[in-house]
This record gives sequence, structure tokens and C-alpha cells, in this order.
Amino acid sequence: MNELMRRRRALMAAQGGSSNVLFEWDYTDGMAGINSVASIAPTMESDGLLLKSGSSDYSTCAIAPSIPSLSTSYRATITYKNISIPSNYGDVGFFHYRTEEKSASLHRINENGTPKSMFLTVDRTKIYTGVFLPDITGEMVIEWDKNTSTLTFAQGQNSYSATLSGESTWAQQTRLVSAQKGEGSGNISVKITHIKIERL
Amino acid sequence: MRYAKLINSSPVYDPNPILVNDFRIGNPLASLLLEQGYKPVTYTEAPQTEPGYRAVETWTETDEAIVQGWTVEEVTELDGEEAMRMLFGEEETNVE
Repeated sequence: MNELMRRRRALMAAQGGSSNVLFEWDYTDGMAGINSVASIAPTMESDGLLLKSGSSDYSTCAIAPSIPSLSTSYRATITYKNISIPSNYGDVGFFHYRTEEKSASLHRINENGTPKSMFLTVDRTKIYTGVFLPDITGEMVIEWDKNTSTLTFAQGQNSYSATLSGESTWAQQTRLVSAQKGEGSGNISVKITHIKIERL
Repeated sequence: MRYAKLINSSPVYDPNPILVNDFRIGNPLASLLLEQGYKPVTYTEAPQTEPGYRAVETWTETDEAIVQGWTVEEVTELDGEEAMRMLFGEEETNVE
């Protein structure tokens, strides 16, 4: 944990500990609190946690730190950098959410050399492209509103929201960030530097 | 670049956010707008007109775009009675 974070947490504690922060992680914390949930484990580097797919098609590296249940409204802020998608049909995905009826996640993909965004919906039968394209380096904000069952992705002025119905199958699909190789050459990677999850 | 659909001979611009399959999308990419039937709007310069004439915009739709055009119309001067009729209708102007 860096000095700035220590001071901030100390300040919050001094103010009565009324923080709504449910989980906060910085790469300087090491692997504490980070769960690897796919075939390839992430690796810690000097400037961030590296999620890098393997060389075989569809190999995936994904993490899922302590995410609250869907009965809690919360905001997850993921600070990341250096998305690399050298091959066709690889993707870096944020927040995979699935119910029996719908699913939603935001991906940056590379299709025939062209960067595109993608989200999935309705039993994964429709792969939709054309929402905002996640930056190579940036801060992704994801909000879950339990009262309206609305999931919102936002980055800068861009956003998309989905109202998700159906019973949650959340336990089967717990990924906050993933790097997955598609069909083609090269590894897909992204580096995570900070994650913060707050109760709303 | 603005995107629009041509409805009743007028451009209806892309809403922001746009609703697609129950997803509300802020600042959508152009590819999504195209997929939803919106086309890029091409604006053109209004023509210079002589005194007594005015440029009136028109809109046409091509395969690729919504295109602004112009026609030149003569400006007809209204007399006071006609102007009152346009503003307030027949009944109001016929009150004695």
C-alpha cells in the first residue's frame, strides 16, 4: 500500500470510520484479496498486476476480488493500463454479469485488426458491438443498483446501462477483469493498478 | 459529425443516450448509430439571395447520408389583415 493510501485510510479512521469502501486494493498491496478465477493466473510486476492470456485459443486470465452480493448497491472503480490485443478476436473484458435471461459485460476486442467494443446480452445469443470503446489506459467505473437491477458501465462521458432481469447466476460468472485470447496469434494483456469497491 | 433519420422530410437527430435492446448507451459509437438506422448529416452552404428572396432548407436521404439542400423562394409581403389571420385565425380577425 502506498503512502497516500495509508494516509487516506488513517484519515477516514480518525473521522469515525464511516467509510463506504467495501474493498480497496492497490498493486503495491501485492496479491492480497485478489482471486484468480481462470486457467491462467495473473502475475505481479513492478508497476501493476498483469493479466495475460496463454498462447492457446481462448485461454483466459481473470480476477475476481471480493465483490459484494447483488443485494448490495455498489460502485467498482478499476484503474488499468496497457491493454494489448495484438491478435484477432482477443478481448479484455470488464465485469461479467449474468442472469438466466440476460448477461452483460463490456469488452474491448480486436476484430480483423479493428478495435471494437462489445457487450453480450440475452442468453449470449446476441453479441452486440458499437457501444463505447474502453480506452487502452483508463478508469472503468461500474455501478450496480440493486433497487432497479441496473448495471452501468462508464468511462469519461461514455456509458451504457442495462436493466437485467431474471434470477442471478452470479456465482457462475464472477469476473471483474479478464484477458482472453481469441483465434489468432499473440497474447492478450492488461495491467491493473487499483480497484476500489464502494457501497452506494 | 451529427447523425439523424429523415422523418417527415426533416432530420431527427440521434438521441443521447440511445436506447437499444433495453440498454441505455451514452455517447454511442458511430457504428451503433448506423446500425440503428441513423445516417451522417451533410450540411451545405446556404445560397446567397437577392433582395426579396430567401433560402429555404430542404432535406433528402441518400444511401449514405442525410443531405441538406436549399431552394430559393420569393419573399411575399403580407398585408396587415393577412398577417392577423395567420397569427390569430379567421374568427379573431372577423370580430367586428
